Amino acid sequence: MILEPINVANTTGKKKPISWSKLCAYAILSLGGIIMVIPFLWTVAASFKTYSDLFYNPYRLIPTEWTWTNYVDVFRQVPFHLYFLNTIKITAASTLGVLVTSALAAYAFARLEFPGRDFLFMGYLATMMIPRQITLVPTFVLMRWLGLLDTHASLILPGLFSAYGTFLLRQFFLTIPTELEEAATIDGCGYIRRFSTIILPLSKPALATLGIFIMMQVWNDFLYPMVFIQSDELRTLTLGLSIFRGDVDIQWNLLMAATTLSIVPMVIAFLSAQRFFVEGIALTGLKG
Amino acid sequence: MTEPGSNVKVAVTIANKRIARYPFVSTLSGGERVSRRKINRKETIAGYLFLAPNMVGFLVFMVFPLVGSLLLSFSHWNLIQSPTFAGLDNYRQLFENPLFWQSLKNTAYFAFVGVPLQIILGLFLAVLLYSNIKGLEFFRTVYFLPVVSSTVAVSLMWQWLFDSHTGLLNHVLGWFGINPVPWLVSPKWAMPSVILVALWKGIGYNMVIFLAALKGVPEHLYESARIDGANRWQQFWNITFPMISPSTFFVTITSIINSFQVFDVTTVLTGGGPANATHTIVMMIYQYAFDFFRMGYASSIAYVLFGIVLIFTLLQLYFSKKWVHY
Amino acid sequence: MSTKRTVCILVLLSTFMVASLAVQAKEVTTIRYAFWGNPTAIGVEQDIIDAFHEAHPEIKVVPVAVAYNDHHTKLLTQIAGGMAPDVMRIDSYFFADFINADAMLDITDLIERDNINMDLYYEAGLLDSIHNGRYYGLPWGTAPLYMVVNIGMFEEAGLPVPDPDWDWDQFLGIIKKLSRGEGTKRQYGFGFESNLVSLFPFIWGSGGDLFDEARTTFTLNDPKAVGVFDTFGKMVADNLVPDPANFLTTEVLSRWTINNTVAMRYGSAQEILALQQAEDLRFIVMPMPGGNEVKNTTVYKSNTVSISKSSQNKEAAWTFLKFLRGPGLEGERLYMKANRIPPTFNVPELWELFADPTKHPKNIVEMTQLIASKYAHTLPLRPGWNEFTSIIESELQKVFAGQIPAQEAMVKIAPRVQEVLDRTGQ
Repeated sequence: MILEPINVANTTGKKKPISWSKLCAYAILSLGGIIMVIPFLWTVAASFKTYSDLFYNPYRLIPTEWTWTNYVDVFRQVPFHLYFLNTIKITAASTLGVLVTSALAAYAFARLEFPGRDFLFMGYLATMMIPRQITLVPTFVLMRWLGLLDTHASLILPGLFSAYGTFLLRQFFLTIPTELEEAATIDGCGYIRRFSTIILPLSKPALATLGIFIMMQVWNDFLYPMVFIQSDELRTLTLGLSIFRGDVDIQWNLLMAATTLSIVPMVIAFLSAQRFFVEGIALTGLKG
Repeated sequence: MTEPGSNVKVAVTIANKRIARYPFVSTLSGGERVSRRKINRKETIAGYLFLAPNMVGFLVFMVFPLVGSLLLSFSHWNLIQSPTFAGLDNYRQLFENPLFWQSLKNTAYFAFVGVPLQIILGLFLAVLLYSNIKGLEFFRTVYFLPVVSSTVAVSLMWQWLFDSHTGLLNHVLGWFGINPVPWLVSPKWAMPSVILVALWKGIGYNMVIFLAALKGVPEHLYESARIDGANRWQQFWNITFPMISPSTFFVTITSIINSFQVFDVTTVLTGGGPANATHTIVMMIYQYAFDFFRMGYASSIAYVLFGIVLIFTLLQLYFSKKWVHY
Repeated sequence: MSTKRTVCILVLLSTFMVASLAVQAKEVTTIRYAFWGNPTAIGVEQDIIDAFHEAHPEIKVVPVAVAYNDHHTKLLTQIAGGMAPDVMRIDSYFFADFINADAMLDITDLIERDNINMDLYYEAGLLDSIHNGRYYGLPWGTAPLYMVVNIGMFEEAGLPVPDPDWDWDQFLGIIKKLSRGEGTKRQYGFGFESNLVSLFPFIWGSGGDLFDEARTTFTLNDPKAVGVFDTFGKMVADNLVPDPANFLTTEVLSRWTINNTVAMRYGSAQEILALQQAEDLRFIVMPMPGGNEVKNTTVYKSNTVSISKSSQNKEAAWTFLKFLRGPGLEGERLYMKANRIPPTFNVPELWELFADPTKHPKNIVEMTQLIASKYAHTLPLRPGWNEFTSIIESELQKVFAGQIPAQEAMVKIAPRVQEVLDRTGQ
């Protein structure tokens, strides 16, 4: 049932014969993997099809006739490269910002004791329970007062103070044995030093996780850019994508090309973050 | 400052020794931590300072709009003219609106069927992918792909797959002699179909959180457990599960919160139909606010939703003391 | 030498400064124009804006363009935040609510002042921009909601394409003949969505309507309308027409049209654009079948381009609106080039520009004009439209799913619809 044991890959050097449970694991992973990957392949395939081909042969993963024109058209119809740059800029700023503010706040919630801590923490959780659709208008008014409408700051700033990120990191920080910090306290380390030399290095997997989630969230955010941004040169990818769905006469093949383009950077980001997921806590700590 | 190594190395060794003495991890739970120190002034100041950068923005960008919409829930507002005071009208009308109860029922269905599946399958996948087999990175990426894909594009594809007439899914079921399923067409099947798509899209998300959590479980705990003769199932329940419980707790809380706000997938896939079978609370909020010119009413829906989710979260916090170990 | 050069540079610089001051002194008014569209549609609007800038350098138009689904959300948020666009396109479903909220400028006096020839517009197209005899905007996208007929499927079945004067009985006869085959090979004579607008032709044809004359009392619980719902419910149950729950999103109906599963369907000018992208599909457009009592049953709809009441630059906005939608033809010519929407004015030149003879439906010009003169019927629009239609439509889905008889369903929702009507007033 619990298939392969929780063996860290790099700790066992011995070669073992392939066991049944391992075969089972492969079978399940492969079957699930196919289900997971097919829609993605379909999107990519559709991006190389003509409109008619897409409609007449929707399930063919290999286009009857490969065409690059969808990609060319995407760039010809909208300044997609600008949308890319804008989205990268916003995503990078937000992700870095969230990692800093969330890690600091999470440390306070997880490790420090001060009056009102649990109440404040509950307040953080509570803000996640109100859908953004309903705070849209007050947020718009706020942005107007701050003079931030139609700027990238209106998309970056509100994202920097993430209740979600704080909660995620708090949970991870809580799993770090307090003895580590106690030892450091004995050595005379202050809070900042304990935070930066013990908690942070040990939290690489958690930080990588949060980073990738925030990145995705900002990358795919639609509501705020749709309402706050007006100028074409400030638009984000999701706005570009939505424009391809703009009317009833949707050019699905172009939409698929645009979608494929917008997914690729996220896949690359995930692949590069994998390294951090793979590192174990013990390894991180001992490497120094 | 740039040499974290020395301190940490010592600390890890101390900690490991400690844990090694208690192979079953329950002694690491939070209770000890709380009573460990008395509240002191220095720590209080540090706490607020660590919190400050986040708190300032949080108050401005989160709390302000929240208070704004809370006030709006006691008003009639068509978004164009000035709002007028409505007292509790919106709330009273809300409870008489059959669409509200229907949407609430649908949303709860989505959350309470979808969330356990998401968590169990996500954890299962993470455990599988944590193991010592080849091609792990490949599989991890594959399972994460739906998470990064755009909801619009994948929903279109699922519509194609679900198509009652020419859909691939019914075609495949036909090979096994199973009658066509009216996936999105019948009110009975529509919500299960939506849950299926959400599951497909969200499972990789939970997988990543659990993977990161599994990395935090010290290997030697398993070694001592094996020496004690525990089988894998026992190892999972006695080591893995308690060790990753803070992450499980996180996933449970956030999944419930997110599921109660389901909007995208139902909007694109079914538009809330057929016969409101997939109409959700947030769809209702959006509709009343921006289609029906009733922002005040929509706000009152949001705050009732808030109350409901808050209750579930508090319940979870309460019960978490029994199973979450820090 | 260097002194000379310095003087030169100074002179040049000051010339530039004076020149730039002069440009600034000639005041440029900036107005914002909100509309929806996909890249092609937005491109057309941009062309018109560019042409306008050339004709009126003193006015700068800033486009506020998003997708249709997001347009009214963005528009309302901006208005709520005190930043209403000066010129805005409004779907006619929202028009009455905007009137109710006093959001739009009454432009009747401006029309009279500038002697705008309103006779040039298709009359039925103007109705959706008028309230109490006053104009609150100029029409955009005046077009019928056609019956789209897949002629390939008619030919294959050896059936003649119906005459524009066809009626309800002929329509039912065609459905019976064209709905054939089993399993995934099943074809249907007609496919319809459970939205009210696509059912209006049949409700009208039966002599029923959504409201009484004053549009204050709900009348779909009347036996005439109920009979229509029952007929469709029975056809769904007999598998003569597909369950409309298949078409919760318009894409599916278009797909079924393209792959020859549905022979006739209801479609807007925009939906025709989607069908045109499929190379092998041959189709024509028709008026909807006439009923026994009412012959003009084709929904004829316009959206409106209005000026915000709160606009600070009403005169500039009006100048732009005239260019964009007024009968000056400049704006309209540019619209026609994109072949996206039929002309709003009855001018042959525009029709020639609009119709692309290489594309289906090849009878679009003839039929659109015929419908405008003979078969057009405007919707009984009123405030609260989106709210009460959503109540009715979800109940109709239950009827078509066989969960509840039509009569019972309509009686059940009557008080809820009436509540919306009473609350939203006239």
